[in-house]
Amino acid sequence: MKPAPFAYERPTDLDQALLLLDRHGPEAKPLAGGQSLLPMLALRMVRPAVLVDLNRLEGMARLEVGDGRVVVGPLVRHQAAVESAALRQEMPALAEAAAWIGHREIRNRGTILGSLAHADPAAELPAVAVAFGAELVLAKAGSQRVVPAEEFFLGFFTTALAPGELLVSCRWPLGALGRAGTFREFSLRDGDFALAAVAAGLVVGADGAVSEVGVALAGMGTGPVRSRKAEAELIGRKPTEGTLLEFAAAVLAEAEPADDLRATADYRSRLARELIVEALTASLQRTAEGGHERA
Amino acid sequence: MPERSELVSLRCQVNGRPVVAEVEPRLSLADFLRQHLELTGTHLGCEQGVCGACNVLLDGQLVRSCLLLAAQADGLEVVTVEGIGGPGGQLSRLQQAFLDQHGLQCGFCTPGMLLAAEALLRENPKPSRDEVVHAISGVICRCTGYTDIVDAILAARGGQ
Repeated sequence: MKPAPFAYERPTDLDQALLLLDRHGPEAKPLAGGQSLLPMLALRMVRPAVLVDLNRLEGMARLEVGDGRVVVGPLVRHQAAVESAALRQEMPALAEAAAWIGHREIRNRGTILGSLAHADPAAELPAVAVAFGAELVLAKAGSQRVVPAEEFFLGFFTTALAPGELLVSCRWPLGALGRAGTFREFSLRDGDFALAAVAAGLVVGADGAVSEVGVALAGMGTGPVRSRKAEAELIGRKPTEGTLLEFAAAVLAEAEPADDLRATADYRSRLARELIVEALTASLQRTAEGGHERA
Repeated sequence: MPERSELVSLRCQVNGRPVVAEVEPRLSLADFLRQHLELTGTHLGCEQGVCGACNVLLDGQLVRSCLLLAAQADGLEVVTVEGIGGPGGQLSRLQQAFLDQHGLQCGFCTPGMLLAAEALLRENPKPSRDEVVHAISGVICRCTGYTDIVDAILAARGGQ
């Protein structure tokens, strides 16, 4: 047995789970898919006194697409997003991003909210949350608050979640931007971490000028990178290759890619530039077709 | 920090047989299978979710048994490499294909490969070569160069 000893709780309803997390505060860790937590326990990078297993909570595996939004509960596995036809229609970037996560074994078990709460800088889903304006619902025993994705990710494996709080829902607004959105990634091998990835959506008006845009990068800093400034400058312009390259450069000016043994910062920036232009071009195509391409 | 945690109860099915046990919460499903049930066909390579040698089916879903606590299998059905053979101790069509196509050398990754292939063929009885390659991408083999494994899985198509 590699992890340090811990007490194990398996509550059957959310209130019970929140009470346990509240009682044990920073000593407790919630367990959903466990695909990042279990390795961290085995490596003793985390040593919680209490593990609160959420897998028995009733009704928490719902992935709802409709009524103007996508709502993801705490036990929705990545594979459920990959296989959701409604999601592929209404928020394809989320389904496409989920397909890039690890391998099938990992996607069968790992959860969308778990990935968001883990906040790995190379993770796909935080970028999708930020690019398409998701809101996260953070619950605590007796109360809850809603945090926009852009304020949730605070840096390297760091989020707005306080001790005793649990991420219970993430919801994306549905609309033209989400329907046109897409996800692009480059990694060295199937299932590897992204060297760079981008979640992007672009909508043009009747005049052919950009009316809406949302772009966020993964693997290019300590968290998802979104440039509101670059987006504001693109609005009202025609999305030619030139303007998209300019846009990519403006986004990358706000990125802080790192050198590591897999890639240099410069290489990551070049990858990200190509991925941004490719994703926005694909998004434009989706809008033009008034639907979505099959991923 | 507790020195030793309170034991938790575990009732599950493993390869069709009921199992009842009391386990430490930190015991992984892989260690439970190997050490408590002596089902040593499930191999442990990296113990952190990278190598795929410990793949098993949990309620029919392919999972890493090193990334699950044994306690999490409570109420569920586990199938290991010992549970995918043919009747009467015969090799299954898939296992026979691994033998015929030389889909193994040292054999360390073989249980992980077999379970990944089993899960694929149950879901998609006629996968393309690309689909096979993608399906086993989560299992690392250091001997074969993968080609014979892919050929074995392709040879086993359709007869599951």
